[in-house]
Amino acid sequence: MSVGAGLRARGRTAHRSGTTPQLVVGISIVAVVVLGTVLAPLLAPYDPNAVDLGSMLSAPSIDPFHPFGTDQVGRDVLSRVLYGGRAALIVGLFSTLIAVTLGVLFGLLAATGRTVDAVIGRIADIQLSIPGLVLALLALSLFGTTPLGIIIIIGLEWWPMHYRVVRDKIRELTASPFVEASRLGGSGRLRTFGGHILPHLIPVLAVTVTFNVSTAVLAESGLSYLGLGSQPPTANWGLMIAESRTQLGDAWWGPVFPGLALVVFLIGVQMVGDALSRRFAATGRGGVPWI
Amino acid sequence: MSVLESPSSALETPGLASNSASPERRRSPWPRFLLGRILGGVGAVFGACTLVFIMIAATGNPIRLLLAGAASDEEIARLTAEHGYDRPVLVQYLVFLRDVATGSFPPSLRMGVNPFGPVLTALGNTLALTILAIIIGALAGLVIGYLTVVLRNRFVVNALLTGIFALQAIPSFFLGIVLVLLFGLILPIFPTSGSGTPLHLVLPALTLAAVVAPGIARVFRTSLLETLGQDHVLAARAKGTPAAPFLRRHVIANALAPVISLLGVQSGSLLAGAILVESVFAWPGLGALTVDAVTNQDYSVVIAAVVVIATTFVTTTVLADIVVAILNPQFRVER
Amino acid sequence: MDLILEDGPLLRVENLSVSFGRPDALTPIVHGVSFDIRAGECFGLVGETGSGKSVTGLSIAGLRSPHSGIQTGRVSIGSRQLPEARDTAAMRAWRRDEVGVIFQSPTTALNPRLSVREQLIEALPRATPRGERTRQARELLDRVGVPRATERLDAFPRELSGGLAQRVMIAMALARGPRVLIADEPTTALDVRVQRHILDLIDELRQDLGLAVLLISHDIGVVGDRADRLGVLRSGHLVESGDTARILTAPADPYTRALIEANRVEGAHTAAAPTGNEPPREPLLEVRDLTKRFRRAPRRGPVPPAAVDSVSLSIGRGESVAIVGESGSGKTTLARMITGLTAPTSGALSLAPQLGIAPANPRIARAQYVFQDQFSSLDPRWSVAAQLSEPLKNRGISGDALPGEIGRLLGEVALDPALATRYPAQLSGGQRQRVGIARALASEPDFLVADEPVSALDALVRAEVVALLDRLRRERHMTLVLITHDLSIVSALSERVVVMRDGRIVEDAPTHTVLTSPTHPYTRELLEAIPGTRIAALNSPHPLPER
Repeated sequence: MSVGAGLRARGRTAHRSGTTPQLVVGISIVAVVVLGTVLAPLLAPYDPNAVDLGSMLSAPSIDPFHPFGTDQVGRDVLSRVLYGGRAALIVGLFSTLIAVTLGVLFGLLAATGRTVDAVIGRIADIQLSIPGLVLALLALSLFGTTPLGIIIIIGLEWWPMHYRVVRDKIRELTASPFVEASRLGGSGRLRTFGGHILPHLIPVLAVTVTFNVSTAVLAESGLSYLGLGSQPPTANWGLMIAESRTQLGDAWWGPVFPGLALVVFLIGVQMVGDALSRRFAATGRGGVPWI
Repeated sequence: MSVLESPSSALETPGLASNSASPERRRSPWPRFLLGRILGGVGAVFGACTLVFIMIAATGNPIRLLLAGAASDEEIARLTAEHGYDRPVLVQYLVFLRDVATGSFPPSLRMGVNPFGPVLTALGNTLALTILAIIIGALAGLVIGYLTVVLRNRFVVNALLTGIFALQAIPSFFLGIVLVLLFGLILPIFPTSGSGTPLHLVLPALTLAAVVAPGIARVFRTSLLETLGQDHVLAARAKGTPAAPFLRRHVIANALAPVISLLGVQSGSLLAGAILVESVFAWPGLGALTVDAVTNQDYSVVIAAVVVIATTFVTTTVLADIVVAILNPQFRVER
Repeated sequence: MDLILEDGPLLRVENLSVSFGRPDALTPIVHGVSFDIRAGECFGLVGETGSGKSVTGLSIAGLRSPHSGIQTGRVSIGSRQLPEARDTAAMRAWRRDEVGVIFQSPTTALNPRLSVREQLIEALPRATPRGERTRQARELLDRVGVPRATERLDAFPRELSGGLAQRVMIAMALARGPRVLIADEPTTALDVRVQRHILDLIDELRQDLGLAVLLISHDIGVVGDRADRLGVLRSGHLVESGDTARILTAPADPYTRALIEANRVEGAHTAAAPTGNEPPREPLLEVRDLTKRFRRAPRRGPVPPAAVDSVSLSIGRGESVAIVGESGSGKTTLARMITGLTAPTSGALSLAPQLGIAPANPRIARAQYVFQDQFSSLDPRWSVAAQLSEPLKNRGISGDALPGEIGRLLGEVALDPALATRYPAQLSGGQRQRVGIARALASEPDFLVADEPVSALDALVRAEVVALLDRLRRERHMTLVLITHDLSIVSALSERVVVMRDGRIVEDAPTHTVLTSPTHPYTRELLEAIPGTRIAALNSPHPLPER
């Protein structure tokens, strides 16, 4: 360790242990948003699609009970916010699953040989040369907007990230003394891989997965905002922001509440990811394993 | 902990011997570097075009799709023949590449002409917006990142870090709407949509800058902290170098490289951000054009726009690599 | 000393204490340390990792951040006082005018972004006229013995070898004509011959320029050779200080005595001469024309020379052989090929058939490896018990027999069986290295290859691990191949020494012969460069030699 880094590290030890509350708060925020969305049918005071032309664009009030106000056709914004996370969360979950599966699969494949590694790396490079949202626009316009299509196209965007971390980690570990010692001790390839390489992939993937969830949720809302995701009259955060923005001057609550729901959820996910990566870095520096 | 030598790494790295090459054998690394980067960029654009072609070809006869039932069968047949879509796939592919290279796309449904010209005009507007956003965002990010390292007041530093953290979680289209609400409607200072005056650029540029700034701030902060922990900074301090040149030459300049690399990488998310921001503010850029074209199923425009965006993106990445290399003085050969 | 000195010490350190951390949670690092150094004198500060020796050096140099803790006590050079930490301008002047500092790792202590010229010019006094600067920089390089100084001015740090980079660092430290030179482990990262040249240079500059030198090192051998007086630092306390000759011959503190003893055992340049009546050994391993060439980095540089170049070697059953060489000599590559971790490019390797019953699992390597870096040699996610049970299970030991076997292995490497539940991060460096040895033993190997097993450990732990290896070798009649850059530990462990240079074997003879009458000039050079001559001399009946 260099002198400077040594001095620095000493001053920081106290700091590092303080990351657990961040993880707890992050997980709680995510849990609240997920529960709110899942339990929307029980929690929502109104049918999210019930039009009430008698109370269009009414401001937030307790009596009548519209704490988040109503929209341009008199639908209760609170109910729609509760229901509105469904598409984002489903897309976030499943497209992340697709990306992780592909990334891990390709990462493992890349570990088998130089040629495979080079080919996969090239494919990743080509895909990364078109920004994900642009590729999504092209695909959705060519093949039409379907929920499954959105999940797949967003899922395909991020596999290179998981692939890179898995590949790099496997390479790093394969050359490490403890893996060599395991092989010398008579463990077969599979046993060494399962015992000394696979467990080390989990913490790195935990970080990329949380990041992937937040970008996928962001992408779904973005597409819906552009009118390429959920279609009216579905309650969807991105779409709600788009639909209500023309009345922004008269009814700020229309876009603000769904937007805040989105922001709160993203902050929660980000906190989890941040805490995970810090704790993981601490483990890498010689802490006791915890994932 | 000092490890006297690490035999495995020292021996397994064959490049080690060439590192200690004596100065007189040093040749300019520029030609090889530039050639490599430019060829790599051309390859990436080529790959992107191929990907676009595969997606178009997967839909069947693209001309039918492009004209979306708005043309007679004869016209479809004529255009199909003209763009080679009645020939084998490989020929179609070559024709597509030729069309892309010469900028000749099938006529747009709504404009009735080759959309390449309008797409380039829109690219100009998008570049104006993104370059302004990068300047504002990068400056803000650098200043904030720097402050979080040098300020001694824990409260202020934590506030800044929290601010960066929150800003990163706000989707650009929502931030745009909040800015419209604040500075367009509550305090009507800036126009909220369209183009025409430089003032029209203020809100979209600020919104997009907010996409750039948090990443820059975090990377610069990390890089500064890492640089400050290095021995050579201690050694420079030991020389008694005055504060300003010390910070400039040994800390900031050393810490900037990852920031510039990040800017190159970020240009992708920035273009994505631009698409959303342009449609919030009705800024007549590539993003708004593409979204309009997608909504109206004007495929020729979509394809032209995607090709142009990919080319722009790749060019930016290559340029960022070259700038990083210029800042790295080991590339400076003075003899 | 041929220099006319001023009266009294130049550098005075009185009651220096340093604590780290926030004001509400201070960790004391240095406790009331006092010493002084006269002009032209070298004071050595010895201590283990974490003893506070570097912090002491940095505090005197005025290089500690005023925000990272509290520092009390008085430090003065001549009539000038070390200023208050918060007085940044005065502090800068102190660093600029009074002290020069040399750091441990010369390659990281130079800014990779700036050329040697730029960094040297920056170190020159600001008043130097513009036209003079390059000339003065070149003179500085000449002064510290950098050959072809004019060309080297335009080099970047990564183009310099460790020794050259350290010379540049010294030139920078001297640029403003300091009166005090602080050398913090100046040679720890360097090969032993280079170490000698750098220490010679520091000695020469000290005498020529009348510098007061503070030489900080973990190695009492180095300090004992070079310092006029020395101090021993332990957990921030100066447990002993005084005249070097006095401390080496009659240490007052038990800790000092242990340090000297540890170094003396290792550094004994004599090994028992072969008695001549040992039975000839049956060969265990035959290596014929073994060559390893690494692939060159794609599109970069010329084809590198072979890392190991047609090496032939025979090792007998139960023999203890040391393979000695500097970094880049190919010793580790050779060892890795012997154990099968690296595939040879060409050549043959044959192992005599195993004695006794056939192994339970043919995949278990008959040569086990003890790695240098105890941080990466154990899986951080596995407890000690799990690390040891893996090879045991591969041998077919499982279930109820496992805990007993793990306990036996831990006992064999003298570790408390209670450590079995710990994770690597919860162990000390020496404990980790013992676990690594136990894991190698768990496979019941025919022979053990130990790659720099102690080079990253502190002196006392180092002596313990060397003793452990020696005991295991004798008890188990085990073949031991020791890889080391350092001739000083071979006498304790090896019967035979193989000296490697640039991938070839230059000398292969019994330890006694190599240490007393080496035939190859390179071996002689290595031997002469070993620090600790003064301590080694304590072993002999002759009085302590004066320098």
